[in-house]
Amino acid sequence: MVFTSFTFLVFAAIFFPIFFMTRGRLQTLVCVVASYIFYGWWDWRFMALLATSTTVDYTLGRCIAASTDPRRRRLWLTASIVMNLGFLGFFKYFNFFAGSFADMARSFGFAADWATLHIVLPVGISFYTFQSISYTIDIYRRRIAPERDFLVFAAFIALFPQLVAGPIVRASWLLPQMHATRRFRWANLFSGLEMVVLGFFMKLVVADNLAPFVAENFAFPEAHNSASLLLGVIFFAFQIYGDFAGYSLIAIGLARVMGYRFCRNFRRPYLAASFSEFWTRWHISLSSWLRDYLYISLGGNRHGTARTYRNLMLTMLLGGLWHGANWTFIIWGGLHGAYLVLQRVLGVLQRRLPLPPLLPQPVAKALAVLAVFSLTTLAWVFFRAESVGQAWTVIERIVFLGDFRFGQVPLKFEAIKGVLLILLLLAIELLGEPRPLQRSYRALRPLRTAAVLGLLWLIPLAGSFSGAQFIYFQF
Amino acid sequence: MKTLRPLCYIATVALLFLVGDRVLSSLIERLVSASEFRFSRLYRGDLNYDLLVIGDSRAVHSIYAPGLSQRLCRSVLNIAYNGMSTEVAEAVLRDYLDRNAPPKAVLIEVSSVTRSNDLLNDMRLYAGHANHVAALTRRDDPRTATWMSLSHLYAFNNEMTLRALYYLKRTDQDWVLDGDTQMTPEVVAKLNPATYPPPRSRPESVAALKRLVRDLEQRHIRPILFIAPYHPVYGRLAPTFAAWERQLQDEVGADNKIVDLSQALQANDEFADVQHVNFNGSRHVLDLVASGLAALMPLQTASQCPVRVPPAATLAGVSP
Repeated sequence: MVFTSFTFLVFAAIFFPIFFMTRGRLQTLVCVVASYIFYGWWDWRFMALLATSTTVDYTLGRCIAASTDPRRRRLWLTASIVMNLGFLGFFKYFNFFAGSFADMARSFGFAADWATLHIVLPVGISFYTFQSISYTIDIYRRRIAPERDFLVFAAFIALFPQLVAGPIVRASWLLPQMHATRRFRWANLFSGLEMVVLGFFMKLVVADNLAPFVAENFAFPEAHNSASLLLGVIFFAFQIYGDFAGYSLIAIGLARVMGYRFCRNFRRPYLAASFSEFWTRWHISLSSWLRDYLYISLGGNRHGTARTYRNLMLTMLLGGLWHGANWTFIIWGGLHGAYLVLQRVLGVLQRRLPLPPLLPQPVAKALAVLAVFSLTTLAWVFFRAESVGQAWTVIERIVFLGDFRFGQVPLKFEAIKGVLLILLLLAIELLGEPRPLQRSYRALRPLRTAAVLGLLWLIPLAGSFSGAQFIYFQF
Repeated sequence: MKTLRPLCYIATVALLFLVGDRVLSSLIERLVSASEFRFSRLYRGDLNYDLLVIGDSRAVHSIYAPGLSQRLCRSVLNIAYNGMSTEVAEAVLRDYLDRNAPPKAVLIEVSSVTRSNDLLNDMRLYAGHANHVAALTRRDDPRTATWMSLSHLYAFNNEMTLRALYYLKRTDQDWVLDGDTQMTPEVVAKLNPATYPPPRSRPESVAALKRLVRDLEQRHIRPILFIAPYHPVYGRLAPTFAAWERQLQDEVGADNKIVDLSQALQANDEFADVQHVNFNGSRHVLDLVASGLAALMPLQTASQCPVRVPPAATLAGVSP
C-alpha cells in the first residue's frame, strides 16, 4: 500500500477513527493489526517473516537482559544479529553473490546457473531488520531495558508509517511513547498534516516530475548530449531527495497525527558544506545507525589515523551494500567513504599549514556547498545506473563529448519544468535554513497556513499522478 | 467551543483552497487563451486559413506551415501535435470548424491512426471551450472530469500549458527539427527492431478518419490524406508497413487516395530519427507537397498573394 494511492486514503479513513476510539492495549492491538494489513497489502507471505523477526528478537532481547554471563549475553546477541542479517543476506544478497560466483565459474569454463534463485525481496526488510538489530544491541549495551509487552514490541517493529522505508526509529526513542495511550490532539493533526502536505509536494511535484527525464537519460545515454545527461544527473540528485525526504516527511507526519514523535530524517542535505555535515543531514536515521552500531563498533576514531580511515571506508562501503546487491551501490558507498577520508586528510593539512583565507567566508562556504553537491551528484550517477558500464557511459559523455547545446536536449519542456521545480525547492530550502527564519515561521500561524495552501495548489497544478513507487521501497 | 475553533480553521483552509484554486486557474486560463500557441488561437476563433494540417508529430515536423504558405501563396495553419491520434484530430478539427472559417482543404497525416488518445490528458486545459475534445475526454477518462471539478488548476497540469505560456507572444508555426540533428550510419546500425512495433491501426481511429473525410466532403472541404516520409531503414524495421498501408487504403476507400510519401526521402541527413524528417527533409517534403497541391489548388501569383508569408530564412526555426 503506497501513501500516494487511493487505497491508502481509504485505509487511513478507517484506521485513524478506530485508533483514537480505542485505549491502552486495545489501541496497540489496532496498531499492530493495521500495520500488518498495510504490510501484507504488498505480499501477505512476508507477514510471516516480519512476525518471525519480531518474535525472535523479542525473546532474544529478554534473554540478553536476563543473563549476567557475558559469554551467554554475547551468544544471544550474536544469534539475533545472525538471524536478522541472515534474512537480509538471503533475500537481498544471495543472488548477487551467487551470480558473481556463477560469472567467475563461467570464466573458468564451468556452468553454474543453478546457483541463482528467483528470490523476491520483501518490502522494507532492510529497515525493520536494522531497527530490530539496534534493539538487541542497545539491550546488550545496557542502554535500554527489554520490552516486556510483546504487543508493544510488535507495534514498535511494524508501525506502518515507518515500516517500509523508515525512518529507522530507535527503541529508546519510540518504545516509551508506545506505552501511553495516544489521544487525538488537534495540534498533532495540524502539524502532522503540514508535514504530510510538504511530503506529497516533494514526492508528487518534485520527484515524480523529474523521474521521466532521468529515466530517459539513463536508459539511453548514447542518445543524449552532454547538456541533457548533465541535467539528468542533477535531476536525479533532486529526484531521490524529493522522493525519499518526501516519504520520510509523510511517515513522520502520519506518526505525528497518531501522537508519536519521530526524529527528522533529512535536514536540507544539499546545503551541506562538507561531507561529514552532509551525512548529518541525509538519511539521518541510517547514517546515525551506521555510526553508532558499525563505525563505533569497528573502533571509530579511537585507534589512530589509519584505522579511522579504514573504519570510515568500511562503514560507507557497507552502507552502500545495504542499499542493494550491486557493484554500483558499492562504488557509491566507496566514493562517499573516499570523500570522508579526503576531507579528514585535507582537514589535517589545513591545521598543519594554516593559510590565510583566500575568499570571504560566505563565498568560500557557497563554493564548498557547490563542491559537496557536485561530488555527491557524481556518486549518485553510480547509485542510479543499472550497471557500472552504464554509469561510466553517462560520465564519459558528460565529460568528453562536450556537447552542451541546450537546443539539442530532446525533452526540453520536461527539462525546463524540472529546472523550475528544483529552483522552487531550493528557495524553500534556503528560506528554511537560517534559524531565526525557522523560529519566525513556526510562530506565525497565518504564514504556515499560507505556505500549506501554496503547496496544496501546486500539487494539482504541477504534481505527477503516474502512481510511481517510492525509490526506497526497493531497498 | 474548543472543538469549534479547529473545525472553523479547517473549513477556512478548505474554503481558501477552493477560492485560490478558482482564482489562479482563471488567471492561467486568461494567459493560455491569449497565447499564440496553435490550440489557443484555434479556440479563440475567427481564424481564416486556406489549408490546415493535422496529424501527429510526423505531420508537425514534415509540414512547415510558413514554408508551404510561401510556396503556395496560400494561408496554411499546422494544427498537428505530438502524439495526436486521428480520433483526437477529428475532435480538434470539429472544434476548429465550429469557431473558425472553413478551410479549402485539410492535409491529414494518416499514420496517426496507430496512436492512442493519450494526448487528451494535455488537451484538458481547453476543456472549457473544446466541446468535441471535452466529450471525447469524458468518454475516455471520466475520472479526469471528476478531478477537474475538485481542482480547476488540475486542467493546467500538463506540458501543453507550458507550451501555451512559452508561445504567449511568439508563433509556434516554426516547428521544424534542426538540420544538425541527423541520422548517421552508426545510429542506423544500432537501431533495435524491437523498439519499432509493426504499425497497427486502432479501429476507433480508422472510424474517426472515415467520419472525418465524409464530413469534410459534405462541407465542401477537400481532405487530402498523406503519409509523411520514413527513414529508408523503417522498411526493414517494420516489414508489415506496406500491408498496413494497403489495408488502411481499403478501409478509407479508393476515392480517398492516400498520397504515400513514406519512401520519398532516402538520405540520412534529411532525417532527425526514423520517423521524423529534419530541416533538410522538410524542405523536400514541402516541394513535393506544394507541387501536388498546385494541381489541386491553383497557385496564386505573388502580386495576388493574399497572405503575409515570412521570409524563407525563418525555416531555420526552433524545434519543439
